[in-house]
Amino acid sequence: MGITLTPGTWEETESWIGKLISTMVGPDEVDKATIRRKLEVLNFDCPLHTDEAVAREHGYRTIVAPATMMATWALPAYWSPGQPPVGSRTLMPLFPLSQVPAPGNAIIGSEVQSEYFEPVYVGDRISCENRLVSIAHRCTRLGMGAFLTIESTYTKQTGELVCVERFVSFRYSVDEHEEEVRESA
Amino acid sequence: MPSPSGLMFEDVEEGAEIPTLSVPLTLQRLVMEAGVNRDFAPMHFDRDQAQQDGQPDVFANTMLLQTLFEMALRQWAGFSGRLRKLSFRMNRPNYVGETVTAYGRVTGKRVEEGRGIVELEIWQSTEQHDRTLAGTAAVELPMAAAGGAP
Repeated sequence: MGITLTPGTWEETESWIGKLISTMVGPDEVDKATIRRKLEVLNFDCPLHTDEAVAREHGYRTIVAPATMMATWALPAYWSPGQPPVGSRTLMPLFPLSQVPAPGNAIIGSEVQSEYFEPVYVGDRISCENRLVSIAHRCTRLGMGAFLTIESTYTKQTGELVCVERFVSFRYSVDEHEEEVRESA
Repeated sequence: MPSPSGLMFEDVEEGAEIPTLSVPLTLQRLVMEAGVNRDFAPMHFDRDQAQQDGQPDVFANTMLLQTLFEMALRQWAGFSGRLRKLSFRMNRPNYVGETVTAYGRVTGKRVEEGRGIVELEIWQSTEQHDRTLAGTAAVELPMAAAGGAP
């Protein structure tokens, strides 16, 4: 399949409820260049994210990142010096949703709930702690699987809270889904 | 560009709709988004992988859709507004080739610990499908009574 999801049984998944799945420390500081490239994608024209004077005028310490870039800042590197070459492997972003041991070989986002606190500024370094909150088994159009809810608590280098985000994803098996589609045809 | 002068809490009326914001989801845009948000999950730019996962084509990732909402809310609130909450359910992927439009409507307002908070219903739709995403947002707006600063 090419996507690396941590395998496991549903019992193993249940055993992780309430536990810390991972701690992520952003490999890079929040920077102007990444913010500028983010604005470029959707043509997000707002000088709070590019102009220090405008940001200060509106109560920010300096240029502020869009609030919705939170996960980007904390995402671990795909490769770091000292690690072996990746070769031809397809790497999955190390979001916690892919690290929860569970059955299934595919995953899709279902719901996200974010609350924002302190602004994220150029120069900040963002970290987060990720916990599995709940699991709910369901049958959807993709087949049998489970909705996994992970809560990520983001802080900056000062310890200030910047965001709490709950992400719900559906873990399922593509092979089972295709079999169900064939049987229903 | 959002208004520099911004919207004041006292000026918001329940039921008011925010200006809509549309973005075509070209493959190039999805690739650019992956390049900057660093979510290189293949289903967002590799058609073969997306189809192996049971999807008809590649689709926008969550962060792109979150930012579309943030842009629409910023466009409405102006420079002085601050996004406090953003929640939505993804009812259907937004696939490459579709144009997605963000919408919002004020559902209420309250003063919380001296801060003016506006609640909104938000959603995104494509030409083919209504409410591919649906949820709520909370935006803090400056209050004239408090001197206008957030």
